[in-house]
Amino acid sequence: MNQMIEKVRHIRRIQYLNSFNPIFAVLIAFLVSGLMVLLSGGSPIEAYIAIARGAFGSMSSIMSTIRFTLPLLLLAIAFTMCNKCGYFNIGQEGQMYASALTITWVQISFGNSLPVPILFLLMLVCGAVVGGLVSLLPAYLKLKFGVNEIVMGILLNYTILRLSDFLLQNTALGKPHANTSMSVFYIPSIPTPVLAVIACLIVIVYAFIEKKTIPGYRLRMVGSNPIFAQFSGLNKTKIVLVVAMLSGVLASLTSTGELVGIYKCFYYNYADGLGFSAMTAALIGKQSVVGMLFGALLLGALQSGAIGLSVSASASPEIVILVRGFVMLFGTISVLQYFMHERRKTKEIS
Amino acid sequence: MQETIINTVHLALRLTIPFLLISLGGLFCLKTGVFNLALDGFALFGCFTSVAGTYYTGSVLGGVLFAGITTSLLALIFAVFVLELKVDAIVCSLAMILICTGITRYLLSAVLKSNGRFVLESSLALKPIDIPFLENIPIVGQALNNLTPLAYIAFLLVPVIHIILYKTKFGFQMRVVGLNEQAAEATGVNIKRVRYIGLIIGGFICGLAGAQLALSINMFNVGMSDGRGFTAFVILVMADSRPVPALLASLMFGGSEAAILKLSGYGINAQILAIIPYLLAFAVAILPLASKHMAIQIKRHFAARTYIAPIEKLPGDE
Repeated sequence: MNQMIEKVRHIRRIQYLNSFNPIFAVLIAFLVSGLMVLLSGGSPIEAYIAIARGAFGSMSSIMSTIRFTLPLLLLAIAFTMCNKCGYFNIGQEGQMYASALTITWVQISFGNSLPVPILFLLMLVCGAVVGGLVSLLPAYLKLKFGVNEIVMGILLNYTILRLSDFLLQNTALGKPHANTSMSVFYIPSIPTPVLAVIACLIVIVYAFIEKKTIPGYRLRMVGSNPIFAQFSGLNKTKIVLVVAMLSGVLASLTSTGELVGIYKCFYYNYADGLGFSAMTAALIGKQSVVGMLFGALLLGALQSGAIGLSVSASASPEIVILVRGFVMLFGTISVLQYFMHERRKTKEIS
Repeated sequence: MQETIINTVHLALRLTIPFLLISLGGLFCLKTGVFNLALDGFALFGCFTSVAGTYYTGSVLGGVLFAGITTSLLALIFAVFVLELKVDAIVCSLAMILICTGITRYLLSAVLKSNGRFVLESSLALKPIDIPFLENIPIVGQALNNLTPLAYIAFLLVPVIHIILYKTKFGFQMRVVGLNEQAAEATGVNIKRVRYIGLIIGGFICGLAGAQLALSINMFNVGMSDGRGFTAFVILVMADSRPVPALLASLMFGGSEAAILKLSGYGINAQILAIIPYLLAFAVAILPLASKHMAIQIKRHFAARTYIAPIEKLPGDE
């Protein structure tokens, strides 16, 4: 009995320590990237101060941090909900570009004939449908034929990116006589605070569904124990497909928000690396909503801090990508648990 | 006409080399059962270190070796994370890709003090070599001649790796570790050692691929691996990580790229042509599995009429 209590305590202690793990991962990542800066002849402390100032130094920089955090948070949720049911969704950038092309098409076809609110609604719906379908494709291929969804997703990202380049430069979707690949400007516009409110609503709704409702319970069941789910009469294929589609819809909503609310037009490759960042945020947050909020905030702050870094010139702003990579790498190992495990092993032997 | 064909074949061979080298490097990882998706990142890292190495040592050979060694060090880090710290290999490889993107961009501006691209002097390019006896053979010789030394090394590596895999003890150990871990452990193979060696050799070859990519045009470009690592991964899946089929599959991709370059010369839009390799990779990834699925279904259809035979399980049905 005593042994049992001891065991439970041990597991609790590990869980408790594990919740600190992301902090250590972030610290190690900052240390390693600082070392890189130092070795290449820069000053890491100055660089980090510049990043912090660029992210939280003034009201406008805080606004820009929030602006970078929102898409990361939504995409992290899109990634997490697929991951919870055992499907690794990496095609978010492809889904975003596909829905961006769709809303550009809506703008061109109906921009002059429809009133603005209806036009915006139409954009949302069309973008969501296309994003969902694009997300459905690798999931369907995986479940039907067993094709690797990660390779498929990455190939799909590249294909859609190239397709968007072609369409923006050679068809009516693109802005005529532009030097870079960019689309025509959108008529509807949403202010950033509204975007933030909508994003928060989506996050709360997701958290509620995932924790408190039957579909959320089914989703977690399919992910953590597929065999049990199967014997309780759940159709795994259907659930994964629906979740993959919802994830695509969420990615496309993010894309619409970004384009209509912030960029006002579709630049070629505007979401470069956003999918990877979102994945990092989800990994640091251990896939819990609050954790993801902090993860997205950290990465958003890094992104907006990069602008401050390019002004101060103490280190080149590319260091931010490096920090992100290291955060993702170290976020996956549970440093503390590793040491605990080692210690217990030696104890058992002795 | 003959001239055009020879030119196209030559171009196709030249474009095959990066695919071939990356997939040969990945073969060592996949054969030992490590799901290494970071090939793209390794190749990109190899591109950068080869250019940096050439710039600092002033010799092409130094650059190529530097690329190989640094990339195998990177693969060693990957190996430590996957084998010792038990990180999920997929997440770790995605992190590696991100780190490679970041590190090349950062060092490009911090060390080489340039932005976006870095061009070496043209004397420091990896020059094509002229092999006299090939010149005498008609057509084939002309297409095969004047490739870079790394290209010939890549073609030579195919039979060498074939022999290592299927005729030596180490190759046998590698295959056993990939096929069945328990069996390998029972026969006394040191699984970790085999995987470490496989990953390090794989990293070295990926570094060579990067060197070929960057030094043959004597410059480094941000993101110059351009998804080739993922295509190489598709090649490996298609070739079931065997060296000779991998060569054939790489030739297919190289050929399609060459055809695209030639076709864009005839006024066909280059951007639409750029999509084709990815569509090809798609088809290659899906078709074998789809046809297998079809075959099993047909078998099942006939089996139902005659006798009840044990039938393989499909991924879709539970």
